Amino acid sequence: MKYYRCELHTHTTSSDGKMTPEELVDRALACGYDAIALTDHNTTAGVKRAVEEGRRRGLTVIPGIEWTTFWGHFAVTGGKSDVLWRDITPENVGEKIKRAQTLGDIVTIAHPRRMGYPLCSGCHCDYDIESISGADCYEVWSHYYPNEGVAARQQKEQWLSLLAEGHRLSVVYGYDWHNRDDVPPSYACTYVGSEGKDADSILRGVKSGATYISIGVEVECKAVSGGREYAIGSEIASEETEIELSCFRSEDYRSDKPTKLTRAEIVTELGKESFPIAFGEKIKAKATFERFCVVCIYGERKREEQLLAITGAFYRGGNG
Amino acid sequence: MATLFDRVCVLTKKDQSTHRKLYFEVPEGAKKLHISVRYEPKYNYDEEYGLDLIERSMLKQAGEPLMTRGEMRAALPLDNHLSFSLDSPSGAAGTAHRGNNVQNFTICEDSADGGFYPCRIEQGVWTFVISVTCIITDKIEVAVKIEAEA
Ligand SMILES: [Zn+2]
Ligand SMILES: [Zn+2]
Repeated sequence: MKYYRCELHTHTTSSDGKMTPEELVDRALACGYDAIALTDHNTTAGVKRAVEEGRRRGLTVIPGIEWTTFWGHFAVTGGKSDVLWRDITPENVGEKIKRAQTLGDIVTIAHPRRMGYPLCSGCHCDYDIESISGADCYEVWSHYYPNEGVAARQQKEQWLSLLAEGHRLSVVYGYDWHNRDDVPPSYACTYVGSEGKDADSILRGVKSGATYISIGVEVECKAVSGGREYAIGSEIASEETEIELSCFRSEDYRSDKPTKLTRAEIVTELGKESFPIAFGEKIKAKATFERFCVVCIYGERKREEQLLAITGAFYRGGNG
Repeated sequence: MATLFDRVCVLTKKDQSTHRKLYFEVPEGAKKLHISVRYEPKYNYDEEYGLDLIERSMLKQAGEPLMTRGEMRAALPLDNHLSFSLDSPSGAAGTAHRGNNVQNFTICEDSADGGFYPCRIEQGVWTFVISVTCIITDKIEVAVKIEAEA
C-alpha cells in the first residue's frame, strides 16, 4: 500500500469556482496531487470534462458533488448516488447519507464548524451531529490556514469525541478549492493509503480509514499487535498495541515549511501522551485504548509549535 | 423566440432556507431554453445591522468568537445569496450555485452552462426553483424570464 496525495473537495465554474474543469486539473498537477475529487455545489455538470482532462493529463479525477444544503455541506464522492440535494432535510439527512453509501458513494462532513449564516450560509453544520455520524469522513481541517483558528480546534474536538463514542470517520482535509491559487496559503493535504491511484482504489482507501492529513510532513505509521502489522484505519483485536512512526519532509510542500518536529502525541479515548520525535527518526510507543487511537504530529512552523499532521484512527474491534 | 415565463417573485426573510417553485410550460418543438435571472438588492449596506448579525450568529454557532471585529468589518457588506435549479418533466436538470445577482443560462440537448445539464427540451411542465440560501434584506425581488427557441 502506498499513500497518495489527494484533494477531495474542489470547485469549478460549474458552480462558484474560478477555474474551468481543465484549469483545475492543470493546477492540481502543478501542485503535485495524485488524485482530486470534483465536488461542485449541487451539480455534477463539470465532472465529465474534468475526468476526461484528468485522463489525458495523468491525474485521477474522482466524480463528486457537494450537497450544499441550508443546514450543512457534504462532499459526496464516487458519482454513483441519486440523492437530490433539495430533498435533504434535518429529518431525513441520516437516510440520505445511507442511501448514497448504499449506492457506492463516500460521504464527508464538510467544514462543519465554519462560520455559516449570514457570511457563508449553510457552511456551518446545523444538523444534529448524531443524525450525520454515519458519514464516512470528517473534514477536520478545511480551506486556508487549516490548522489554525477556532473552527480547526472545534472540528478536531468534535471528531475525536465522535470516535470516542464509537463512530468511525476517516480524517480528511478539504481545501475547498475555489480560486486559481498558485501556492495556496498554508495549504494541507489528505494522504490516502491505497493499492493504486485509480479512483476506485483511492475511494476504497478513504473508506477503509487509511488516511492522514498533513502540512509538509509525510507520515509512515502502523500499529503492531499480536505479531501482526496494521495500517491506519484497521481494527485491532488485541490489547497489546505498539505504534511505529516515522516522519519525513514533504518534497511537494512549498510555503511556510515546518522547520523541525517537536513531538508525536498518541490520543485515545482515555487521554493523550507525547513522545519526542525528529524528521527521519523512527519511534515506537505503546498505545492502550478500548475504542480508538490517533497520532498527532507537532512541529515548529511560523516560529511556533503547530499541529502538523493527524492520522486516521486505529480501532479496537474484530477478532484479530 | 417565445416567452414562457416573465415574472417578478418577491422573497422575504420568512423565506430563508426554503425553495420557491415556479412552473412553466414548454411547447412542442422547443430546442433551447434561455433563462435570465436578476435579483435586487444584492447587498445590505447597513453596517451596524451587519456587525450585530455576524456577532450574534457567530456566538450562536461557535459559542466563542471566531473572528475579530476587524475581520467582521472586512466581511461587510452582507449579501443575499440565491441558487437556482431546473427540473424538466423527466427530472432534475441541474443547479446554478453562484454568487452574482445577474445570471443568464442557455440549456439545450448538447450543451448547458452554469451548473445545468444538457438535456432535451421536452414538451410539458418544467419547474424553476429559487433556493433561498441567505436573505439579509427585508425583501428580495427576483425577476425571472424564460424563453424558448425552436
Ligand atoms: Zn461547502
Ligand atoms: Zn466546497
